Amino acid sequence: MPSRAVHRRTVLRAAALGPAFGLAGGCAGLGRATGLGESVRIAVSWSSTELAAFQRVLGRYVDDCALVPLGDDIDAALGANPTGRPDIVALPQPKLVRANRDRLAPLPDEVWHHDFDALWSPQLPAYGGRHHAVPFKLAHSSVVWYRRRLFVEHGLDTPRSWTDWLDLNERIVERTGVAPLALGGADGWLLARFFENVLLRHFDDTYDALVAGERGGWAGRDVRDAFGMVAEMWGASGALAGGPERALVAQYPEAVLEVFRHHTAAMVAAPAFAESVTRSFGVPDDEIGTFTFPSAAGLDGRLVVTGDLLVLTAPASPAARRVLRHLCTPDAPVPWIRDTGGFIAADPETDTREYSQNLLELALELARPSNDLQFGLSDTVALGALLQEVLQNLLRALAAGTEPGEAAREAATAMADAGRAAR
Amino acid sequence: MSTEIRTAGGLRLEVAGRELTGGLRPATARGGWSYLLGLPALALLVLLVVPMAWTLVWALWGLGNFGDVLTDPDALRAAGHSVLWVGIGVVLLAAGYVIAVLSRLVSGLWRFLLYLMVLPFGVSAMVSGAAFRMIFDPNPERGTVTALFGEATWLGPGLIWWVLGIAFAWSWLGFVVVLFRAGLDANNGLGYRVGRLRLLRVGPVASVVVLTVLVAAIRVFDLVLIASPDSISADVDVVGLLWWRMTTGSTETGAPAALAVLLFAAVASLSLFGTRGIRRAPVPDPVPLAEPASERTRWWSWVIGLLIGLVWTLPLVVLVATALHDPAAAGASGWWRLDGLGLGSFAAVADTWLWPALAASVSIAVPATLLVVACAVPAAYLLTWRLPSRVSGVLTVLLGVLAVAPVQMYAGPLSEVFAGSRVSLALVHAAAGLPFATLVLRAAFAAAPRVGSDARPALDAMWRRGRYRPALVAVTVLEFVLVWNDFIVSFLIGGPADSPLALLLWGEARQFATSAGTVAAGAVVSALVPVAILLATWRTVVAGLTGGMAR
Repeated sequence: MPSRAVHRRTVLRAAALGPAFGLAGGCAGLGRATGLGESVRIAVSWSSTELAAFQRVLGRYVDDCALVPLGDDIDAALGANPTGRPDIVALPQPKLVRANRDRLAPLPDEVWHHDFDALWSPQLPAYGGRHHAVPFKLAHSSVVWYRRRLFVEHGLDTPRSWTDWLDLNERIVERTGVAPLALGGADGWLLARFFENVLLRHFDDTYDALVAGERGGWAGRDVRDAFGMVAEMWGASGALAGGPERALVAQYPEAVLEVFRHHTAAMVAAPAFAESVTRSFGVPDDEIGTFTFPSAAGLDGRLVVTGDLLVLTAPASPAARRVLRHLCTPDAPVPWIRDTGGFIAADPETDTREYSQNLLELALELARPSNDLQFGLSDTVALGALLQEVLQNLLRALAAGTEPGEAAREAATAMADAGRAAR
Repeated sequence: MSTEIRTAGGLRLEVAGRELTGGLRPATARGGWSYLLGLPALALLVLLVVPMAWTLVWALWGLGNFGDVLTDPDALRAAGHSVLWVGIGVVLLAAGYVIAVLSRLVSGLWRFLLYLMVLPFGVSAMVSGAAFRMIFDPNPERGTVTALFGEATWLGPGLIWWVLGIAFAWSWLGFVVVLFRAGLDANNGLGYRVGRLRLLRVGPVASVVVLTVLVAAIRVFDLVLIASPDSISADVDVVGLLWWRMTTGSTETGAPAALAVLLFAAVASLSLFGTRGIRRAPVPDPVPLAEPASERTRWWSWVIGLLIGLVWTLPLVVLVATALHDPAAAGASGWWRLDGLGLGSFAAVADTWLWPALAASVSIAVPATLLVVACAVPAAYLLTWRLPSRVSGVLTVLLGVLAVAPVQMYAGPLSEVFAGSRVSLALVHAAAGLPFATLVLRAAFAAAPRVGSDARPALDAMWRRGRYRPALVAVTVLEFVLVWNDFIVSFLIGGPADSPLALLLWGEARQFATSAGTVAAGAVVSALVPVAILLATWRTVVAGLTGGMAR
């Protein structure tokens, strides 16, 4: 009996240590593992491939830094207690900067680029002449991704207007046997991007009013119409890959895979960073096409963007400032752009040669002076989280067989009520 | 004696305490200075009791807090779901009883099944939730069950409760069966006739098992968090999760505090009155029921045993096989495909967060465990051999209440003053684990076989002599596994300072399906340590808990 026990123990120990020694990959990893010393702690919301990409962006500073991936709980990084607060935080929402300003340190002056002023200053105002957040990554969020070969084979054209798009979806259902759209309803923000595009690119006055904080706008006719348009498209027969219920529980990268890997859908509306998904799953670039989210006449230039910002928490150590300065050099993100993709640098001086053709076009569209960029509603306004929930409920109502018009009315009522209550 | 020893075999011994010591303690057991031995434990418990009192104050501060919570539809729905969890616990207990009875017929298979079923007990709820979300992935390209059965959306609002229930059963059924089986063996064929039914007697260990499972069912948190997609969170909301959403959503302290107090009251009264009720209920004397099992029953037992073996292995196979695919292969297609095999997923987590997380987990779990053992041993020694039996009884009941207290009851105030370093996390873990560890030790000390005249051994005998050592090993192992597998304490109190494995696994699972490879790789590494320790020390642990009567 004892010999068997010993044997089992030896086997288990070997099994436990095997991967550890097999994969240690040099001393750098182990050095970082101790978590001791002066390492700069950086909290990010990225995971998997994007996290690895950011690590490459750190370049020669990588061994001085410890990454704290917090996923959707990134605001925990700026929690009330200063003990253990990370030194640098990459925030996905500008509104988090305003809410946490007293916990941030002013940035070194040279990292703010005067080209940031036009787009970013309303979202990231300077306090006492000092900026507290610097744009790092920009995402074109008025993009629809489609499978190029499918469109060519069936003689399909990309749509310009909303009615074009509805017609196209019908044709796809009739001709191709795949669903026109993939949707990731488990990520409320992806649904919100869809709605924001419908609203900004058809009812831009209402969108601007809502961004400016006029909550009464939620009760208006435009919002109701926008919900109606969304529900009509999602609720059309056979429109969503796997049906509305599966779309409800799928996440955004899964929706991208439905189009480009499983070939069960023709299109997916997703921000520019969807390229990191297609790249990591080995989709060749020439199979991928993009078009700008359809709009009403004259509103073609209104684009939804999102961005990731870097902040320093107070009190900022010299080491943290050094790492931040490095991250703000124009070419710091080049490894991410080149190897992982899906990254549009906020800094206009970043070398554009490493962008893929798709991303280059998206980056140029954002840079065009005639275009008017607007941040996603759900990232900027107080009712943003509710908007995501309301859209999930809309999708859910469609899954339960509710008629699209009725589902849209319920959604509009929920937002209107919340807007009135908040006033 | 053997019945009492079996009682000590439970893992939550707070409920089994009192009668164990009756008659073992000499009437003259009093000792002035030795009471000081309880000081370290008391100091540690302050960390628990003060914030709990604080939470109570918050809850009572504004008069309407309890009223608000009790009329809030979200809170009522969450409470309804928590009750549903208790129902799941009851079904699980019934199934565990039947399996334990049948297991007596398949002695050959049993030894193998026992290890297989105990194994998930060493796996964290986070990891088991991840495994079951992979198995039930709604995409037929990836999800095992969806690939077999087609249309149903298992993670959707209609079926998610089945997924959660099965995942919970996977974690707990082994615990139930093993302890029920030990009870059945101790009673050796005695039982009751109820109408046409013949029920074999389990004995006192039954109350330990019942309460442990029901309390775990009410406190369920991380399993729901990782296994269910965000869009249906309302369908699976439970009181503990609602509390978390309330605290992250606003700065208000009153309503969440009231919710925490209500949750604590429910769990504590279940623990207190449930135990007393069970103990005082009139139970008829058992009669021998031993009858040879028919060939048919024996055959069915083998079938059920093999089936359980198969089903119990599946989640581990899925996890390991998924982890052994490259991230792209694991995220796009099922674990059963042969293309894309490799160590790429392990390499990906090793390159990013694995080593710091492992280091954080070790540097939290090891000091927390040592601290718990160092404080719990003298405290348990006092309770067992020094204190007057009335005082010891009251303290045991209090410790029992503290042992089942939900983290939400003390997380609010603690996170305001205490968030951050590994040291503070280790301290909180030690405080949270102390009541449980003290009760386990006390029961184990009382049940340890004694020789000759040393009815009251000296304190250093706890370390010096062989027969108390298994109890120390048992508590050390259990405490280490609990802290290592913890998610909720570091999630609610830790903040972003030093993230142990479970927390980073949660971050990695943000894009669940397409990160399947890296999530699985992280899960495998985080499960290897506790499972290896548990399997390697299992015999000693059982010996320690049952006073040396290892099976």
